[in-house]
Amino acid sequence: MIKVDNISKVYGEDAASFQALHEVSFELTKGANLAILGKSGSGKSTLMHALAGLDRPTSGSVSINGKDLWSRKQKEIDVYRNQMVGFVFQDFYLQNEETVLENVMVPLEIRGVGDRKQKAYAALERLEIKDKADNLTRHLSGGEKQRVCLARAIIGQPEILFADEPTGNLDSKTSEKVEALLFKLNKELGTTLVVVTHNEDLARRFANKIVLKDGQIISHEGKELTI
Amino acid sequence: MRTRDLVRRGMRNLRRNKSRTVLTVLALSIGAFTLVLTLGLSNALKSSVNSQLSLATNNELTVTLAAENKAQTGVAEYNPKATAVTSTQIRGEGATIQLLTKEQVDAFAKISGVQRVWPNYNISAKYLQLEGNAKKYVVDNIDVQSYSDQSKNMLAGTYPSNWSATEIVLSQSYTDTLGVPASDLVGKTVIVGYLDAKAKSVEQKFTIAGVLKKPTGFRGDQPATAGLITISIDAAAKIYDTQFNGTRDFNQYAYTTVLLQSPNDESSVRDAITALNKNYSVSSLSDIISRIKTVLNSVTYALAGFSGIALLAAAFGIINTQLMSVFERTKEIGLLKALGMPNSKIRNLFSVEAILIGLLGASIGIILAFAVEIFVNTTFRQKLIDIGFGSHAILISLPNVLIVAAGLGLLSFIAGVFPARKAQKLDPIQALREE
Repeated sequence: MIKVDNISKVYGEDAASFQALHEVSFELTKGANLAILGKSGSGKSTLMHALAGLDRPTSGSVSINGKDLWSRKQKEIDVYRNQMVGFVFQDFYLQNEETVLENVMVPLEIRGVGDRKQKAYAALERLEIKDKADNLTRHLSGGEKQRVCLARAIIGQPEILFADEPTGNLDSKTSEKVEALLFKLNKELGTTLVVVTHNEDLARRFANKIVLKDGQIISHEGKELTI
Repeated sequence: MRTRDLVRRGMRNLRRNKSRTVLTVLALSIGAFTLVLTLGLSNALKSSVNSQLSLATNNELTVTLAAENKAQTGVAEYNPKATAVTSTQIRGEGATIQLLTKEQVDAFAKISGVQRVWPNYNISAKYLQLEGNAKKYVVDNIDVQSYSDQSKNMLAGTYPSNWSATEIVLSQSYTDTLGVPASDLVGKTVIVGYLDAKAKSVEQKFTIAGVLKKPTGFRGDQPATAGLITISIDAAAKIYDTQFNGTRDFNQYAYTTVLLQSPNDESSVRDAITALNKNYSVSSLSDIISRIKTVLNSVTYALAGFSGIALLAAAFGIINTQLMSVFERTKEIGLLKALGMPNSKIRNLFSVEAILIGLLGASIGIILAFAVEIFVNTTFRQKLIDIGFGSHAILISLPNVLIVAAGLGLLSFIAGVFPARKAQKLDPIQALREE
């Protein structure tokens, strides 16, 4: 379960400061899916980064399965990012000079897992891109890159999958495929899915939604979501 | 992340920027090459000096008496009663000394720890003649017996361990000139002719105990040692008596040799000699070795210092290379951090890359130095042996290699600290957003 309690985030100091989040609170049931919506600058990505252990909130707390995230030591936060969560980025962030297989194995490489090829192949198979395993990622199409990114996100079997505008750089046909894969993972593996998007069509498919404006929740819906 | 994966990732990153890595490695390898070669040259020199000096005994002291007026400027007044003052060469060094008297020399023999004392007899011979052979040959120099092991220097026969007054050892030149095999000369009788104090010719018979190989090294290029004979101290004393008794210079010696019972007695005997007269100057082989080694070490350190400067310059190359790498790979660092790679591992990754550059540079430098070593030693082997240097001009040792490799690894690690810290401090979100 994800519990967000009154988190705020302020960038900068004094006159130059900017408040990206303003006392945001909610609870999301384990295994649920959530879309965080809002316009550019509304605080969607900041909220996701605070949940994912990437950006420390200025105040408030984030609890994952009842354990406070940001009071943990940095090493524990690193372990959380490596083992509890998976990331899908709009810009993929793949190593272009490395093969698909090498890119997918990175989380397990960081974890120190020796035998990781089998798991990487299994993840690629699940995302129907196993045949590209030995290709350099720079030779892949946008849709293929996003599937590699997804394979990298799920290889460590995370409890929560975060995706930041996962279809932002894809055409509509490829977007549909990626969306279908995200929901398939959410349903089949029971992975909690948190997606940041301003794509209304994508948002409609989510059972739970939060709409942010100026760093505050202005509307929400969903049975597994408590504000 | 496992160390193996860290190294593999580091190597992959270095391969990604081949030209930059190659240039940095090349700069380091030049420094490593120079350093290893310098150490190898120094080793060969030291080894050569050691092998040359190992033939000499290390329990002999040479005693001279410093001239009383040595600090005076100008010329001293002549005193017919005073012991002669002369300039001489002692162990290759010029010195102004006062001659030693027989009483002074005899006093040294009474010192505890002294086995034997014999002065520099300064004797000479005119010719050497093989008995039954009409031809006579010049004697260039007479050596007195040595107490060091000369067995390695023998061409034939033996170097007597317990010399009798009638034994003689000839140099190889005689067997070459006579055209008789060295082994055939052993046991034969030779006649040594010399002049007595009244310039009258005297002949003395000796039995050939052995033939010395042609001298190499320091003495190898001295033509005066071609006709060299070696006789016992007793025989030398007898010839001295015949040549100098009745002359003004009789029983006056430029220096004297003091043979110790054991090398451990050196310090006490030195003290006892200088206690007799503070003007006595005592030198030993260890003094010479120590002086030569000091000079060799100074040269080695100076050359190694220059190589060190080259390596220092190369270290800045590593800093530059790694800093550029951090800037270029900001997004990658952000991603690795986002995926849970701890800061310490990010730092280690860049340190590993720096160390790999260092070790690669060291390896290439060392391999090049070994190649030069093999080439020089093979090409010039015979020439080196001929001039008595030994069989190696360069002698690279395992400790040299290990020191250079470890030193370069450490230097590279230190050079990589700043870029590694820069990478470690990057914020994952900012790094991912970097354009």
